[in-house]
Amino acid sequence: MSGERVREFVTDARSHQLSGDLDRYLTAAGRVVFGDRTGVMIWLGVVLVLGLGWRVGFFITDTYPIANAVANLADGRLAMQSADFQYSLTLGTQPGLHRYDGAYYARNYGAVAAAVPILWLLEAFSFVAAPRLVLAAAWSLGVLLLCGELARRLDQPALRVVGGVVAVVAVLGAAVFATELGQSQLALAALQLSTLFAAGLAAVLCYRLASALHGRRVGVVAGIGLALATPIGFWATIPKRHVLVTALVFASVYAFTRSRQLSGRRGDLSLATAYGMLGLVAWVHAFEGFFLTVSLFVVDVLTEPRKGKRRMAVVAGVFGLSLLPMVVTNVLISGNPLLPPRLLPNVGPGGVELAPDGPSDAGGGDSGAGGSNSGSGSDGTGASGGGVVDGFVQLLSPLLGLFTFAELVFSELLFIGNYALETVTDGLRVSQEADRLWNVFVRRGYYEYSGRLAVNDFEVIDLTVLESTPVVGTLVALPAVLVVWLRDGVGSLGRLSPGRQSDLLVVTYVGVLTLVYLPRLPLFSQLTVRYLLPAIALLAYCVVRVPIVRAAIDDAPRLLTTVYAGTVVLGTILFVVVLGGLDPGLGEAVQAHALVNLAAATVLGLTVTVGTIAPSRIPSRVVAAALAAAGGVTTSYVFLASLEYFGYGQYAFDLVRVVARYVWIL
Amino acid sequence: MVTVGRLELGVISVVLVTLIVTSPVVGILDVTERNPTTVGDGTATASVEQFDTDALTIDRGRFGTRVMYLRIPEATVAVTDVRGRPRIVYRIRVPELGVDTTSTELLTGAGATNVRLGPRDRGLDPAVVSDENYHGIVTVRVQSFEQDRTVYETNETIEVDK
Repeated sequence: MSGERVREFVTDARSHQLSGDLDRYLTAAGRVVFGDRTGVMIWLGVVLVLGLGWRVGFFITDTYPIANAVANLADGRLAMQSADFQYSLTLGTQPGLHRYDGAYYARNYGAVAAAVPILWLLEAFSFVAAPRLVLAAAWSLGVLLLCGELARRLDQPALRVVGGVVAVVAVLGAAVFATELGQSQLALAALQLSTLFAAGLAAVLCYRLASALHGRRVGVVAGIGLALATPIGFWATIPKRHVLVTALVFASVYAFTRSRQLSGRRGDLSLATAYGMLGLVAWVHAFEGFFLTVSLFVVDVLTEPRKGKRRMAVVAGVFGLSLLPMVVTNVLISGNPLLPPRLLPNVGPGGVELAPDGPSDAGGGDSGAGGSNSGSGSDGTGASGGGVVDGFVQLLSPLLGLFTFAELVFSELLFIGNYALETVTDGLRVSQEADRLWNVFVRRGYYEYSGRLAVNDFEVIDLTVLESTPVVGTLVALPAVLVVWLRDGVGSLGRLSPGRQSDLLVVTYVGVLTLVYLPRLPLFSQLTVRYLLPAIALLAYCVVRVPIVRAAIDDAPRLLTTVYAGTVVLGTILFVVVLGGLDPGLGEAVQAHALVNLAAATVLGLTVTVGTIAPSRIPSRVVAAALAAAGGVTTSYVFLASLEYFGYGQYAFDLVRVVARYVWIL
Repeated sequence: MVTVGRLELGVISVVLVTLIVTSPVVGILDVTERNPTTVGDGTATASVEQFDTDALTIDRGRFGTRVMYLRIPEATVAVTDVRGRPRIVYRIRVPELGVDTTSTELLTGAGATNVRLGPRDRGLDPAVVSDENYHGIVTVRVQSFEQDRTVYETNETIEVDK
């Protein structure tokens, strides 16, 4: 009897210990990702707000193979046969599908893998409840949590009541207006959730980066601004790779910055994380990963030429580990660790951006074929040879295998290096074409796209960098900021402050990402120059690095919030009423936003420039208002793009569908 | 006295109860059945109440778009006697310009109602629009798996305003 009780007691203690450990690990993991409670709340808020615009559907056709890969990988299948395709545009067509050795593969497997656990979770919940209601319930509980925390932080107990009411309305409304969300849609939904979560993470990491340099208030503005006042909001639930890459790039910049602030083991780990995140980028898009890694390496060596052995070992170890997912995926698919699926023969329509031409043109394809040939070659030797020579060859064969592998890796590296050089040269060449720069960065409007306007039914739906992200207009003041900075003295590269070293990395990332994509731009269906999304996001972060913007955030936070909220609410209503009255076509509506955004960017740019040169002329409140207005009009566009302009699929939340019916512009 | 904490517990209970009641495993209430999204069997009586044929024109895009636009006016259709899940289809064709576009509205409620629908204005290649006017056909139909009935048809001359 007592023995049993002792046993019970021990088991109980163990399970307590276990759950205690689990708690500790979860808290530690949460701290690593989100930093603090504020980080968690920013993530939650961004996910809840941007989730409202979520439509379960395909916006861009290259999403089909990725969604198929998510469904298949969740079932444990990497290689797909045509019977495994759950989603298809019309029978058999899926741009962005690759073929190797008789099987089909998607690309961006890092993005695919990110969605798989979410799919498992969705499937598990959907086993016991209706998928549509699972989403609504999660949203409701999220609102309850967020409002509870906000009520505590802002000391406004009424917010908890508001949260409760919104949560009940949302879940009951979902029950009343629920439409079918089939099990077959879950893989796509999981993929969209993965980019939505990534958008939240990008915001959190931007918050942490800005906080690390300038404290919490500036951090919160930078984080929320990144999610709502840049095209991150636009792409959050459109599951392209760009948002995920952006989150990883921010993680890299943040970790790099911390590596310059922290010393000892934590500093080493931070620097290693900065590289490790790029290894994961390579899993999503090998060439973006490559270019970013080279950039980080150069900046790292320039700003910290001497490193301890331990630091180098940690960095090399973590970076090597971070490349493993990509290497394993590539080996499983083609047997060649450095041949990403993107370089495999393309099936169906649609080209591949930022990747060398088709495998028939030497390079990737050739070396891939070379790898398999050399394998059969050594087999042949073993069968035909005899005697001593044969024995000798057999003895050496593991060595030969290693040699072949090294040769393969070397040829791949040579190929990648050649390609990189070519891409950068191309980028430098076209960066001198004023016309192209104008069309990518400032004003697009009607553009001939070398005859491809027909692709979008002659709707001029593409925006430039400045049109889609007017807060970047702040950077017009950069020359002024630089002059002021130079006047105050720079010092040598090796002795830059952590913030300046971080700036150097950001500028390098932006420069390289822009340069490698520039030859392909302007292009149709970029909407917000999506190839440049990580660069645009980094530029948007740079806004809070401008001193007078920071001063404005610190001096007039209330005005900033009020003007932003006002612009979003009134601006959106104004757009609906005015544009609704003009009854525009889709392209006209988008271009009307473009013009308004450009105007906001111009005002902001002028304000900040004058404010930097003559701080006494422009009070902080004016800068805050200009910044808030530029952010507000962007948010307005992001909301209306989802509510009205770009209709596809069905809203994840049926209540939004019911409300959106009353928004009638086009 | 109801505290805020209790209120929050109440909200959580509402969420959980809703999940349970609507769960396909429990099978008390199939909420999605009442909100169909696809056309099925059924009929309806429909007539076009309002349709401004003068607004059907072709003109140049504004806000720097510089393409041409076929401006498609919306129609207000009065619907009565809805049975099942039919839908209203508004279709406009301009054969010379290769335009054939539709807008549909699923009818689910049983009562009399006015449905407002119309395809979006349609962008056109400015190089292709060369004539003074074009010929267009607008039809409004009630469609279901059972029937496909045209309730309105008009042939219009569409003026081009360059």
